[in-house]
Amino acid sequence: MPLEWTVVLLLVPAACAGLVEVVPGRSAVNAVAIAGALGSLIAVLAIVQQVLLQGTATTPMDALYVDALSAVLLLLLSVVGLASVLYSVDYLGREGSPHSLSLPQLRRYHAFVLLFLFTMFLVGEANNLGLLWIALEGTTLVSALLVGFYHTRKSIEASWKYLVLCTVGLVFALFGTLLLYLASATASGSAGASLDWTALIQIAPKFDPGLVRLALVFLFVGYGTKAGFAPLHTWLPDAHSEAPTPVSALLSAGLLKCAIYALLRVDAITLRMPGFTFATWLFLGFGVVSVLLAALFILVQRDLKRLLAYHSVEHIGIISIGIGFGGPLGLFGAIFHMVNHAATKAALFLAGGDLAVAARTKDLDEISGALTAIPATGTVLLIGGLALAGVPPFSIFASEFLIVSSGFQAGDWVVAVILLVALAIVFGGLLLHLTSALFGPKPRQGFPGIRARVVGTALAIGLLLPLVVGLGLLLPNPLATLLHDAVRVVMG
Amino acid sequence: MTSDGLLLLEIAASVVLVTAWIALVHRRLDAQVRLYAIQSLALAVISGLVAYLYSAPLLYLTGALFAALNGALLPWILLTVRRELRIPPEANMLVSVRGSALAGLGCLLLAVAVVGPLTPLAAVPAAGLLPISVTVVLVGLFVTVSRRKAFSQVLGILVMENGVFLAGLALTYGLGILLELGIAANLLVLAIVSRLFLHRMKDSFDSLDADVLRSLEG
Amino acid sequence: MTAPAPWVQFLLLVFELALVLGISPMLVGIMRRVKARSQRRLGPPLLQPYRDLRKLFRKDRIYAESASTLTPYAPWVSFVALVSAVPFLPWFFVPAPLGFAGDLIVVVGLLALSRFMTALAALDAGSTFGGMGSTRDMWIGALAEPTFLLVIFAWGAPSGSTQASVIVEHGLSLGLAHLSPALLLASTAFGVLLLAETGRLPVDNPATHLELTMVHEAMVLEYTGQDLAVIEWGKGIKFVLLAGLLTAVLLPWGIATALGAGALALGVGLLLVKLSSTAWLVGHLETRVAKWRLFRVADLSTLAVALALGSIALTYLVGVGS
Repeated sequence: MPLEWTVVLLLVPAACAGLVEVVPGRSAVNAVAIAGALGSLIAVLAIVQQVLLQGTATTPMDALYVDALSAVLLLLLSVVGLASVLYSVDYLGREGSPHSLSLPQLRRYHAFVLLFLFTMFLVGEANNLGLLWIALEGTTLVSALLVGFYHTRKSIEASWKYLVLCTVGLVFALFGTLLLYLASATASGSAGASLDWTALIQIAPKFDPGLVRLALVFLFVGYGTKAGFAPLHTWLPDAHSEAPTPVSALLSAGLLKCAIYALLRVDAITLRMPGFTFATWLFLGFGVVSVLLAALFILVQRDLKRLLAYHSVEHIGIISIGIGFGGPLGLFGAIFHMVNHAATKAALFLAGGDLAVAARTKDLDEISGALTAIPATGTVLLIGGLALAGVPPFSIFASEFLIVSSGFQAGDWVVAVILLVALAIVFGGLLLHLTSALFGPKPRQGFPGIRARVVGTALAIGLLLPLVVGLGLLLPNPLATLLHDAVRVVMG
Repeated sequence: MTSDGLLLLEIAASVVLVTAWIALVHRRLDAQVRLYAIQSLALAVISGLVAYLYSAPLLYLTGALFAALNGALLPWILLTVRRELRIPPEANMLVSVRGSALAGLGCLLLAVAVVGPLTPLAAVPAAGLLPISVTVVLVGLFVTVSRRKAFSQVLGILVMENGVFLAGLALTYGLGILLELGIAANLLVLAIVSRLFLHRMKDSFDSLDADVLRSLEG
Repeated sequence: MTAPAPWVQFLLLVFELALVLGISPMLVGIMRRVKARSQRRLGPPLLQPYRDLRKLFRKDRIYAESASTLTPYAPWVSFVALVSAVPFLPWFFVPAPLGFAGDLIVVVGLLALSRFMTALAALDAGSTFGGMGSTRDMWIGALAEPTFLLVIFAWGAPSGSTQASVIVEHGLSLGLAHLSPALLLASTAFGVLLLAETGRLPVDNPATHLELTMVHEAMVLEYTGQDLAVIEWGKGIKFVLLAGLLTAVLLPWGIATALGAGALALGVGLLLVKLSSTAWLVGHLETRVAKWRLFRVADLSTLAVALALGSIALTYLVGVGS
């Protein structure tokens, strides 16, 4: 039997999650965690290669099914996962660092993070939409524990809100999934009823539009809550700001993409229904609201991590608008943007965490002169910030450009213009916040909390930064093929 | 498929609806939990009926699982949590009893309005249960948002899940045993995680009103 | 469905009246007994209410000096109003003897008349308790009666009639299909209403004379002897009326639609079973709940209204109830 990389990808983080509980000593625990994340990345690369060669990577019976679209998700998840774990080792895992955890806590932390990765990988690999739902609910349960990891009042508040809101949302999503199942049952005769995505797209043209419309409402409310669509985003800034920094990076860069991915799968089904445009409107509507609302909140936000969290809402909105514009260009832009935003946002969260440790505050008003006080971190923040604001030549500019032009191409002038206006506001807001924090005068006695050992941090950011910068300049051929294939998966 | 069987289904479904409605207006947490248990047992019965009527033997298993988990284990966990944490027995309602009762009616009307126009449902024998299940989902949602206590929010979510389960049974005869197992496992983990958080909340806030969770805004 | 000959109807009517009048103290006894038992008390014997009635009937009637001529008559009018509701309801045979003359709305009217007379009499003597009790009772009535009407409409919706007999016959013709969610919703509403209308817990405590809480007892404080006897009896009859209506609509099986010794015997037997199980249930329920503040009665009736409207919605909008 050939080595099923899809199975390996699930086994590695699960096994390592068990292993971190038993290996002795701090460094061994850290090593196992890194091994788990690295192993996942290797497995994903193997899967990607298989997908590039054969189109899909599946297990027998299509229980696990990876096509180009899920490969993109897995790729970004595993890269961000590795970066986050590497960073955690510095940030939480080492004795003496300001956030360091006790050994039992550290074991639990790494176990949760690896389980979190496991559930997110399962989201990407599930063929059955029911399994996809189970995996997404699994991500909620595990990550709620991570958000509340510090046991402070605020983190408990944030994690409780997160748990309740997202679970309520996901119950709606389950209902929507059920209605899709019903649609497939009525379209195919109950014998052929299935929630397997591969089966659903086959019979999608025969689905009843009314039923699918209702299903979409439930699914968008459900997965939309999880993805952070405004106005369902209220849990998001709290969870992102109160979670341990590496977890914030995982949430923003990974988890939100999982939810968007789930919606993309549903979108792919509706795109095969002739004359059915309801999903488009939902994507555009939620996208526009998210972008506008986020832009306003970004202007007034002073807390570094909350600022980044609202940026996530904004970028989820952009992705959603891209999917709504549709067509090869819009979808390509949207999927590309998922990758770019994941890399950029993860890098920013990690560097921002570094800044917060050094300055001993997350309040941007109190930080000044980071660029001269901590030049390396400052530079990353500068690059990341510019990238996030959509400045060329960084990767986010490239995908935003694609999305906006696809909007004009599709004739959605209004939405495209709204998007441009929101982008301009966000750009202004970001400059406003970052210039003083980065360029202002350096405090006389320097930053109080500069860290000594930052190998993991450097590696983590070193992993992400090339993506932030490089993908804007040059799209490597395999990735380009993968993205094109992903668009084809969605459009059929 | 006998029409009598279908009727038994409808009767059991009405029990689900009525329990949800009374739980909505009830002011005692323990009673609400017990109503939830009754509701879950009614659903387990429905599951057995569907298994019998549509000769889907795996649904017997689902029903048994559901009775054990939602009908016994989860209520037990909830009741113990309430006792352990000495949560006062009254449900703190943001909306009065009267308002809640009318909200239940609103949920029903909304459900009927949303589900009514669906044409392909004519082909599904037990489609009449769909408005009921949507109502139960909405009632659960209302419980979640209209109670101050974190405890009630968990209960509301569980009621919502019951509504979805009912819809699943009525429309598609369940989602298949593996998925049901996965969903059940998720529910159990949800209960355990919530219990953990309730304990933490009690330790740090000394109160379990979701009202104290207001420091993060904007 | 052809109605039987007039003399048969008359016989049935007499028998029904006798049955209801005869059985009502027994049901009160059952409720007291069940309540006592579930509170680990021995409780009075089942026949105690009959003995109470006998004792009261032997006593003289005494009136307050301030009472007007209304006082001696009011309990009897109220009693007669309750008794006259009997022939409009289906007991063990449909069509009901006086079914042609009026529907369930007449029954609501008769109950209201009885309530009105009791309240009036309570005010008549001019005592504080009487005024208090009657205010409270009218408030409960004001909430309960519209709800009652709504439930009747909900029940009648599938058959398109507010006649008890037609509702029951329609239900019988459907077989098990009769037990629709809409019916169960409306019947739950009626169950709530039954507690309020018959002065049971949590609305009113029939066993209390605590001035802060009593409703019905406060109204009848001024009465004794034969007057009190008919009041107490009437209270029992009211319970039988409502319990009988609920069971007839909810579980119509056993009610005879044609004459015949077997069918009638079965009907009567099942009626007794249905009534006593209702009394048993109410008795149990009473031990489990505490008396509510008066203003929470509005909560109960809102719940009942919502349930009844929900039932109507289900019938008309989805067609589940038809």
